[in-house]
Amino acid sequence: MEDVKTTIKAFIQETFMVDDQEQLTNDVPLLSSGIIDSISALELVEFLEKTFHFKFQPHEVDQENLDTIARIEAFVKTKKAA
Amino acid sequence: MEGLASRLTESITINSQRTALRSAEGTWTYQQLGMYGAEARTFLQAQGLVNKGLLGICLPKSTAYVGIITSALHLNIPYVPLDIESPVSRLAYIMEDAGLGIVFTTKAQATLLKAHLPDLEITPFTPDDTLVLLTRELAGEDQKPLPPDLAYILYTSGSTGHPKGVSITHENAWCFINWASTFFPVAPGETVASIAPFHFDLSVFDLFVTLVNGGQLVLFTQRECRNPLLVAQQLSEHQVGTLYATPSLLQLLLRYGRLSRYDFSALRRVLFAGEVFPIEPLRQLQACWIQADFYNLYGPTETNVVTWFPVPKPIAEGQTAPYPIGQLCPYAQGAIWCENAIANWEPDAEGELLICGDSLTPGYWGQVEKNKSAFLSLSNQKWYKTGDRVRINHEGDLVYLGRTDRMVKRRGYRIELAEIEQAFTQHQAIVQAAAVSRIQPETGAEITVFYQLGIPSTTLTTLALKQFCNAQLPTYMIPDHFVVLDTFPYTSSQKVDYQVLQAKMEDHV
Repeated sequence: MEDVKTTIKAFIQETFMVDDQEQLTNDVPLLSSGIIDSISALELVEFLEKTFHFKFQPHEVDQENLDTIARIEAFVKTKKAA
Repeated sequence: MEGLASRLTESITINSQRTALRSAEGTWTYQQLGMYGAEARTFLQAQGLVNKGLLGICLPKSTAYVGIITSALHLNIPYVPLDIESPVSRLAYIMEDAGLGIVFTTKAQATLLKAHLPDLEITPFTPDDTLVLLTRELAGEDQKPLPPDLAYILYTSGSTGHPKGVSITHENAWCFINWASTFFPVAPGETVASIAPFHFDLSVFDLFVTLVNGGQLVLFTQRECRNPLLVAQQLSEHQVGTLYATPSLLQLLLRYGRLSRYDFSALRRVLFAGEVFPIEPLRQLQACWIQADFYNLYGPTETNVVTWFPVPKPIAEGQTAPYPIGQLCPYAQGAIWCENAIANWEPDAEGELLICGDSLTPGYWGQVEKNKSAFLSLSNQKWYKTGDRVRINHEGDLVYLGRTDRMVKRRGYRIELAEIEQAFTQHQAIVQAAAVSRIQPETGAEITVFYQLGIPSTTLTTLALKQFCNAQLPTYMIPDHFVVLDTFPYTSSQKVDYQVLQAKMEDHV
């Protein structure tokens, strides 16, 4: 599911920071490092819902599921599988 | 016992069987709150820490946090709420600045703090060791004499580049709590949301107006508050009746909270403060919560709430300008300072708002110079210069116009741009930095930092800069944009030319 990562990565690059292409690895913390602020995280949630056609439950909008590209991908996969 | 403490104790006795606190960890009755407070008091007494200066509290919002606050008030130990999400370097600075020798915190946070302040002793408080007490010996010169009536100290951003502590006495707090209890009466058993963190002065209403009146307080942690979907769901589930929050948070709820999914029929009062609420989102929120009354409250941490304005229901169709901050509270006196004199209090008078009265802080903790410059002595009274420009309209209401200085409001928090600049000077590669801001209609204050590198050929990525800021500054202070400059613009008096930077920002962003 490399395309999920690529899609997420492209969105983050385009929306939150234009430079730094190489440093945005799958494991770089996004929320806990301050790269993405809490409001941008909500934009990300809306983007994921729209792009991958699923709904976040209120408690799922959490750093646990959103902090790295790898975690986001894992969460999207779980939701899609459910 | 001081007024606030005795009222709390009385309420704990009268309401013992009612629910006092709700949180993700569970529910406490007033009796349980009383018992926990008693346990904390016994512990502090056994450790010999009563009359040993201030008590710091650095915990996530929780039932235990409230229990410790009640015990501090009961023992008449002034407390200092510390933002557990702040970078440790900032917390260590505040501990030094306040002269804090005693701090309740989590075990994990204690380890982080000890790395900055190695002389800290760690004593377990709870049997499972999750909550600990940090203590350290203070040198004689660090122990500041305590004013007799001091209740708590709230730290806020400082224009010198470092946070400063606003001292609040029992009398200061009580006159607001007493007024708010009459104006926004919380009935026994009524549910109030605690959205603001305890180091933020909006929480004074939540905590004390609720608890002295037998209400139930639903605790939202900072982490929960970043998730509007969860806040909306919880407000509905707990049938919250009163909600006090910043316009930023309320707008997030409106934009992302999916409010139409939930039943808010219990919500009857929405108070907001901390910044201007633009009319359009306010109108939309009022339409979602049409049964609720909305009030705009105003007041800096130094005075707590000093003006209030009831939002008309419904908001008139032609209304486009934000509502006034309104009328003075009965315990506050206001004056308009214009061209170094007090203007007549009459329609069209315009200038900086000065405030005096029972809610006015005795001053900043240990800041002799700041205490001279922030206050004015006029007609035998001490007035606080709010830095807010206001005008009196033809209805006699105060209208907020803007700031007289470089302070920025973001998500209701005060940000002194100097504090951001100070943080940048800590970066090894950066020789100079200046911060400017502008208001974006959709997103509010946006901060841009211009910086100059010691070695011009090197580069710093946005990612690296954000990570650096995250280690130095609270999240709400992290700038939105970073711009590297080869040379800095200066005025003829050799100061950074902020006007040029302001114009550059408009070009660049």
